Amino acid sequence: MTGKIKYILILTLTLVFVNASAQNSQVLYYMNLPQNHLLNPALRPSNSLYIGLPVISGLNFNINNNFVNFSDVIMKGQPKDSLISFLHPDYNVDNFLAKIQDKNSIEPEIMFQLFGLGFSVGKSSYVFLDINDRIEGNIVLPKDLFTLALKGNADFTGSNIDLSSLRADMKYYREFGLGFSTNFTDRLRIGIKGKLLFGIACASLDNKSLGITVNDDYSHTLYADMAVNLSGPLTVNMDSKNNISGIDFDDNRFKNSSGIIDFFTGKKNMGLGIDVGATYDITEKIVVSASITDLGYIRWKKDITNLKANNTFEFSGLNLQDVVNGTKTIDEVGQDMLDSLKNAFVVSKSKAPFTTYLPFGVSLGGSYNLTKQFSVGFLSYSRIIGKQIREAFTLSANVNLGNAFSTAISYTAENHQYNNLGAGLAFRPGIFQFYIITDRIPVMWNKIQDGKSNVIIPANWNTFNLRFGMNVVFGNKVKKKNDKPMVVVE
Amino acid sequence: MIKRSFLFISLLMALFVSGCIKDTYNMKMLSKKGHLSPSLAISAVKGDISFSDAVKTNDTVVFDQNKLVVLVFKKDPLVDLKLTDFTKGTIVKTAVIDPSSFDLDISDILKHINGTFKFFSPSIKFNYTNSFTNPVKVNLNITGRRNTNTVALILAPFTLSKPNFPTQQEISASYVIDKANSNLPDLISLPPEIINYSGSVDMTITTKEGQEGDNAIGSNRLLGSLEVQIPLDLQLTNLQFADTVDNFIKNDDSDSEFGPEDFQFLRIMIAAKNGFPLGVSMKMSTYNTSTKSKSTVDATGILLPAPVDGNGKANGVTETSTTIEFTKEFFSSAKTADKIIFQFILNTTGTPPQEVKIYSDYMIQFNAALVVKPDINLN
Repeated sequence: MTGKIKYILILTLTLVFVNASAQNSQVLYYMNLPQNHLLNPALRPSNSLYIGLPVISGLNFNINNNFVNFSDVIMKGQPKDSLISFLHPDYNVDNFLAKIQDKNSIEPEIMFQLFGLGFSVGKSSYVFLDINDRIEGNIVLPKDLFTLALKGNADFTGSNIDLSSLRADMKYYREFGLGFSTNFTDRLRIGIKGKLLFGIACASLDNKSLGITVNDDYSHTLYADMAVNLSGPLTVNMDSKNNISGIDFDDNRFKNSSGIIDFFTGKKNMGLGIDVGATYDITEKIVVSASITDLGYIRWKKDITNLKANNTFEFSGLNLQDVVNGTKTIDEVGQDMLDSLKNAFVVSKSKAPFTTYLPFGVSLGGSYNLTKQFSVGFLSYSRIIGKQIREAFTLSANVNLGNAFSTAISYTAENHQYNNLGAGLAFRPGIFQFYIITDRIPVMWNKIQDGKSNVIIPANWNTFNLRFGMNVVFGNKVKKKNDKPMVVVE
Repeated sequence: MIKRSFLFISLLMALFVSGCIKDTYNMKMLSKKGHLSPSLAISAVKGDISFSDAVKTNDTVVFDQNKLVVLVFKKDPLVDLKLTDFTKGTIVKTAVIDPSSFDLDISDILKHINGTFKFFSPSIKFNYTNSFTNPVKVNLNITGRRNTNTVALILAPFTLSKPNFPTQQEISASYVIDKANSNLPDLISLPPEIINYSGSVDMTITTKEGQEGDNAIGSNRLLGSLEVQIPLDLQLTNLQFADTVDNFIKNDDSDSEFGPEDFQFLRIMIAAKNGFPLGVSMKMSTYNTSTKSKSTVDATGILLPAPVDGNGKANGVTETSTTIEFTKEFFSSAKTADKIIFQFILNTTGTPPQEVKIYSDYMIQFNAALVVKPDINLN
């Protein structure tokens, strides 16, 4: 393995092994940036016009897991400086399992802004338009799955291997958002953004129940009621017994530009979304705010494949009666059992449209302006993904020197992790506004050596979140009091 | 402004990266060792199996009208005598049954068996067709032999039925030899590999000279066969069946990455409802013929016998739960052993074991589960 590949693997592992967060850019909330309306459409920047250029205006990466870190997988061994993995014979795998949660999630998210536009209308209103491409994943692995893989099924005797929380959902969609915010009263500002969503590809596991009961006599009852919904250039092949014989990727449609354009600009998978938010000035110095974002759905209709399995199968051992009778061999009895198992979970294939719902966020915030340039704030952000709720609570100190310079330092407590320091920085030379934001600054690092090469990775990275880009901005209207910006700046 | 900002960011980055190195991981020191040791449990086999499922009726095994299991061995013909075979005596003519034997073809089984067992009601039927009109008396000398041990039948000469000439040309009948007129139970309980027989047939002339009817013509004949019947009405006391086979556990495939030594243990858990009045214990040993070393797994009482009524017939079931554990030490010894020795010990119901009868509708209900803990090497 070459060094580069090894480092890529290490980095990939690191990215996968960062712990889960509420997956947001909490630091962004109190910064004077056009992008903060993504978190609350009532928020507006101080500039009178901003233009977001394709891709370079906004890139947002998140990847999270809530169960293990890199150091949980590779750790120090004996003798000193030697390294072992969690599968090493000297390591007690129970220690690894102790770190596994009941529901272990991996949530990658990428968003890049294709276009952005925002401008002031009148004295207090602000209109904004966004086109974003978003790739979002949510994979949940139940603890029982890890225990089953590492410890076997014997420990489950008399109980249930519950895999009903297993979930896998990955979708790629484009959102067109058009919104505005305005002051309804001197104190109250409300913003709303409607979004038209166009799905590009999706794979979604709808798991109603899945598990194995291990009875006291070691007989097993397998049950499954689940469906996999696909929308994409895939062909699922079935054999004569309705078993999946293969999945082909339809690469023909990508052999010419029209096919590629058709795929990336398809309009058949349409959905709607909405963001609403409000800010309220309790006093000149105290502002509270609330928002609900990403409330929406996509109805998938193009290139649909639904695979469904719903049945129960009980295995209580190979029945030797036929073998003793001499009517069958033990091999035939075994094959009969396997056939029964296959037949019990025959996959039905259909092409019915399906709906996926977006994970939505609920923000509650408050800020206190110590001076015109300096404020402190708190933000509670909850992300609701199906039946899961991710909660994060952030305290921040924010400095906004007009449009020229904006920075924030934050502390976030989320998912039982209390060492999350974040920071954001934005500065504006001329009409260009650069920004970089992360909710988590790793304060401890590990150095990975391989001969002469070194790679530095965070020692205990609870989330990887990075948002950066460059806006083109004009004007700075916040001097007027009736604009009621969330962040009062000079 | 730009320069200052970049300087600020660079300074922050440098501080974060250089100031707080927690650990250094030298990937060249990463051990490649890896292993998994899951405990896997599965219900492996089950069955509700009656004697008649396991053994079908055939020439050797029959089920009588009461479903009692009976073993049958036949020797046909045993005698085939014509008048010319008899001596020329005037009153008593004698024919000789030449010494011969018949093999019960159970020597392979008997080689592996020791212990005590007893059959209570075996019988031998001497089936014959006789057309001699003069009285015929058969003197049979039968002995059973197993290895160097022999047991004699000790049977008194017996007279055969004769046809009622001239209305009856021949008669077919049987003479039953059993515990009432012989030492047959002891002979059968030997049990014999081979039955040797010899003897003579005496014909007493009762008709006047020249009035011997068909006897004088010489077409008369005596055809006789033996049919040994052994009802499974028996008593077993520590009847042991032992067999030594080549070590089938040892993995001779050098390319295979998984061998018996890679098991921490293998547990066979047997739950049974035994309707047979037979109890079974089992031992399995690895044996190294060079070092004479042995490692044994003992499964005493794997099946306990069913209770019986006063006639020796099972009238219930006995439930047992047994765990046979094959340990890592056993698998380690299997790696060097060249033989595996199996030993099964059978006892009939009771202490001391008592007489029981085996019926074809006896049933055993069982299931066997496996719990195995392999050491899976991921290196």
